[in-house]
Amino acid sequence: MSGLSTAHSVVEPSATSKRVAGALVIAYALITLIPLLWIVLTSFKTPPDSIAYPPKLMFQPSIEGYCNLFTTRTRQTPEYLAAMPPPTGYCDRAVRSRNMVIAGPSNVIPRFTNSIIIAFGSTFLAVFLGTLAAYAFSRFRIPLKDDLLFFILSTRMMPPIAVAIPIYLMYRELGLSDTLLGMILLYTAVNVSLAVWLLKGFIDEIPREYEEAAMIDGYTRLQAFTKIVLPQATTGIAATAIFCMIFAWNEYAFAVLLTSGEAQTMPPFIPFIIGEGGQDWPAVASATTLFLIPIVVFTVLLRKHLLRGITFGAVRK
Amino acid sequence: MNEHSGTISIADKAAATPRPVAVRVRGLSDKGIAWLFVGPTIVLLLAINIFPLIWTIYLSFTNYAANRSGEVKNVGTRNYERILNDADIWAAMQATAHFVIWTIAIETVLGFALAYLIDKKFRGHGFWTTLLLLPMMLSPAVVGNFWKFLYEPQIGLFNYAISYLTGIDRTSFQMLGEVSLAPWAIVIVDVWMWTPYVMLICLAGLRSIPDYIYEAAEVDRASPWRQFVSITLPMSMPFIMLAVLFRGIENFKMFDLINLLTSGGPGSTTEVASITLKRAAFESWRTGYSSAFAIILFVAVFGLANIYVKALNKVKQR
Amino acid sequence: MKRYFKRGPWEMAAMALIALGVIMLMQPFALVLYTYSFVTLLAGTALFTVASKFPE
Repeated sequence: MSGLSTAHSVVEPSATSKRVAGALVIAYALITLIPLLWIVLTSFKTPPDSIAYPPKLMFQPSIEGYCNLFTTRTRQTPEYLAAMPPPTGYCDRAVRSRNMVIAGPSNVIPRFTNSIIIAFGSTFLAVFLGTLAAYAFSRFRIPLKDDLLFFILSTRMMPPIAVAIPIYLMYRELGLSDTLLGMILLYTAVNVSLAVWLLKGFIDEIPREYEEAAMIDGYTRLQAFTKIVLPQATTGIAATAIFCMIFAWNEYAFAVLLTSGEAQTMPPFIPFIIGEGGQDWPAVASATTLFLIPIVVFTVLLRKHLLRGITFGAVRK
Repeated sequence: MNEHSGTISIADKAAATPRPVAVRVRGLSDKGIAWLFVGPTIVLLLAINIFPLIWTIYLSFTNYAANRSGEVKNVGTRNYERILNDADIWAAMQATAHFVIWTIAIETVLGFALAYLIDKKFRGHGFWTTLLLLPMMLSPAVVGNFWKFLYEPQIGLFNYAISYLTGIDRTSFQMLGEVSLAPWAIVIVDVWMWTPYVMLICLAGLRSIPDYIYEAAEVDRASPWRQFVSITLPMSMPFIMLAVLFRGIENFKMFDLINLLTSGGPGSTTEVASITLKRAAFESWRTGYSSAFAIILFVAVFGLANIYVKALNKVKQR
Repeated sequence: MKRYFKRGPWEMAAMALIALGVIMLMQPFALVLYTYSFVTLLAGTALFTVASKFPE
């Protein structure tokens, strides 16, 4: 294409190249979405449908997977089932059609609750500490500032298994193994580094003049911070909080090594949702679907800030 | 104290009663606030990161085993000597290398290509970009677990798709069960998950190139290929480096995805460094020995993290 | 004396040493290189930490 003769800006790609680019990107996006869609589909299949060959694209939707996810079941003889009172509700019927009865609730609700408590607790703490530290790093002269910032970031880069060895020993001594508090503290420590770096970027962008003007008006430094800087940094704080939340929600290595029951979160729990003869795929898929929905929502909310989040605030666009 | 509500514009404050400068003295000094603000973070990191690190260094010179309460003996640098002469651990490092090199190579090429296409700003590119980014936000453990389902030789979608496209019998190969395929199976999942990450950073790089440079090149009648090689590529290089370094560090210590997909198998074909470390530390309970291994990995990551931060600062200046 | 301790070249040397250490750690060619990778990494990282204190 000879750019000089065209009327529009030379940097603007031609309509054809736009169309080709669009087609390629959309094709790639559709292919990468197949695994995710497959999981959502599987969650609405019955166990026989989920392991059918060839893989079934059309099937009678069922929420048996969700029933199985939330319950534990025992196999019974047909005579026993016949002697029982008529089934109440969809799940009861679905389970009995497989010669089983519902024995009780499964562990999924406590595990989900753990995930939520740990994610919220550690996010709150990390963002609280991170905001204070980021403000100080952004505004004050701190001796060895660059070294401290590097030290803070490097703690996040450490291999989790290597960190888990001493943490395991330490928590055993302190009685924090397999407790919510222990996990919250650990995730806070990992997240605070991200929070400091991200928030420092956001606070750096708020002009100092605002606070200086306020302080001339008689505000103390603390008042200037709480009444001028914090309201300005709300978006940044919210984006940071979501990033911390996603990390804590997704974390697996620490969770699998340091928790065994009481404080176990969803990621180490999901692979152990088993039925008769191996993993109960519709139930696993239902758990995965429920687990992923918040992340999808957060990703859409965060899309403007994703780049910042994954580069510790360095690339702002 | 003065009760100003919520957000206040500068003008509001100017109208408010001016307060004597002395008020500022009543508050904490800047230096005091700085320490008060940074202190808790540093204390937390010292307690949860640095103290354990020092403990690990100490343990790495002992024969301590966390599941026994025997006498702890100082063994000097013997743990390090053992690890650094152990052919099995060396093999684990090579398995790590295979994983790191191939994931980075494919993700960089694919990620850059996608970024280049998205930068053409076709209609709806914002929407498709957001969709594209989904995989990298998910939990690696959960992703690993559901890819295991896709890789099932009898019922999995992956084998079905391959046999549908190429005509190979779907049960003739097992992505996770074969020595020759398992290392590639984990590469595929990692590429699926993290290409969007590389894409996003490359996209930022492409968008940081000012238009006037291309306009000048156009005036000089530089061909599109020349423009790509002499402008686009070199100017987005710092961003590519940033993505490569970060993915390199992350995949060097990769644990969750591989643990769920293969747990190091079949045999020890996909036993990368983190899996070996986990087995030594939490299955054989050789705490002293695994501490030494942990320190070796620490130092490698710490060194790379130094380079990463340097790359980060370079990009920041743009 | 001072002009020998400029940050740029020393940091470059340290980064080269770290990169070399990582390659030695993961290369499939000689066990000896693997054995000495840790020392190389340690030296590179230490040098980097020191060099980052040198004046620009």
